[in-house]
Amino acid sequence: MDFDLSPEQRELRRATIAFARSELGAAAADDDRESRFPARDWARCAEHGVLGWPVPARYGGRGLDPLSTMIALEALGYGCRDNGLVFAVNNHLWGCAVYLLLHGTEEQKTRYLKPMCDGALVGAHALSEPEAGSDVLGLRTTAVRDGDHYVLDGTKWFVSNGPVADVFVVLARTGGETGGAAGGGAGRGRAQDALSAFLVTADLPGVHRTREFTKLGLRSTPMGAVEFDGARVPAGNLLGREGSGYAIFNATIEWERAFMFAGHLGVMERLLESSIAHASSRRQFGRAIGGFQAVAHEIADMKIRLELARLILYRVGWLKRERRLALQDATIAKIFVSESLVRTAMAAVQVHGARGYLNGYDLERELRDALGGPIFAGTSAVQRGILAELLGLSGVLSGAPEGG
Amino acid sequence: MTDAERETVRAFISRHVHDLKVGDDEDLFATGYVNSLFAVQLVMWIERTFDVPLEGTDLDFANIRSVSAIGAFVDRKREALAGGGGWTST
Repeated sequence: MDFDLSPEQRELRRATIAFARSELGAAAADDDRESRFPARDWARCAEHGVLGWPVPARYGGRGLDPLSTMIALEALGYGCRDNGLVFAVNNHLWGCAVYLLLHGTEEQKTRYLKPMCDGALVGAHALSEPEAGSDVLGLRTTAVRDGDHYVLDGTKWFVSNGPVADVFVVLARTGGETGGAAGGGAGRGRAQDALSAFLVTADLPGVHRTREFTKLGLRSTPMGAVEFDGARVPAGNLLGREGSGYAIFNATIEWERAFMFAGHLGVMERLLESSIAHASSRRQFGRAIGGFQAVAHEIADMKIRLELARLILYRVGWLKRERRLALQDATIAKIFVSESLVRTAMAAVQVHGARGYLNGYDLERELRDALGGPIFAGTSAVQRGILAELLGLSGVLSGAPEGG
Repeated sequence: MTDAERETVRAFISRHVHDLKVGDDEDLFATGYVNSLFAVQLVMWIERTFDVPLEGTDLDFANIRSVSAIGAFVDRKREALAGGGGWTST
């Protein structure tokens, strides 16, 4: 077992930090205040190759393996002060591009991945609905086959990147309301086979990007609603086979649950360094406040959380590099890393005192940004339920067995 | 998959369907015996019990919908092991 980074990974980390510090996040505070998507920074990310880090070179990407991608995302989180921009990049990669990579046809990959890598197309995942989020099998958006098209009807909410996205991965019901009662399709009879996954472009008639939500943090990632009103999606935009949407979702969500949080490692390290610097220079009662045990222990705990979070995320990166299943590890990572960042951001605010609480010192924004982690991509409560069920406890999350 | 391994599969599934006896070709998910999260649990158990490294894309209900399907799936994975293969980046 080798815990060292390779020379290539070290250089990737160094170059990414240098790029992020010099090119990104200059207007982070203003973009946060205005809830404004940093379009110029997004273009810089495209030029630097960030938007195609895990995408093979033949589709216009950098072709990084999953572990190296994890390391690069950590470096991006460390160097970029705009956590919302990093979150937008992650939604583009793990909410959309990875679905194409894992389940797209050659034609779909060729058509969509290159413009997603070069910044021409922004990707998003339109999953949640007003009445369904983590309960994926309860989705109500329908897709009915009509000749060479599927006709989509329904509303998706809480779509990160939604207001600026050009292409959405959409899960919709092709198997009828109760898994096959209507709409025909391959999934007749099984709730798990009632969903299908589609690539839907925003320029199709009947696709409407409607309301935009205002958030507590990560405000430079726009979040909105997308409505499908008889949207005719070419059958060629079906991902996988009809009725395989739930299997596709399960096979892909482990990427989102882990890789989306690699940037958190960078933020945790940045907050740790800032807290050490402040605790070393700020003097009260005749000594640096870091000399007080109450402050020192907070900082020690920050380091413990950072190193343990890094271990679990790198393990997921390694598993995916080896093409292994990582759902249990990704679920653990999602819970631990997102909650660790909240605790670290909270501790950093405490260590910095008034400077942590006031506008203009970045730390209050770091805390607001951190609070989203245990909520998006499945709340901590849902993740713990999933983990418990994976360990063999039945009924924790899903109630009585279906039909039982 | 050997007969003994097949019996191990039957026993594991039986423990999760209230000790009911499930036929080798019976569709676990169509009968409603188990919930959808059991699919993931089952795949993770297969990986651990039969020491076959699995991928996310193996989470296909077709691979695990019955005792017979699981047997065939494990056999396919074992045959593929000789080929190996990691992330393709080109």
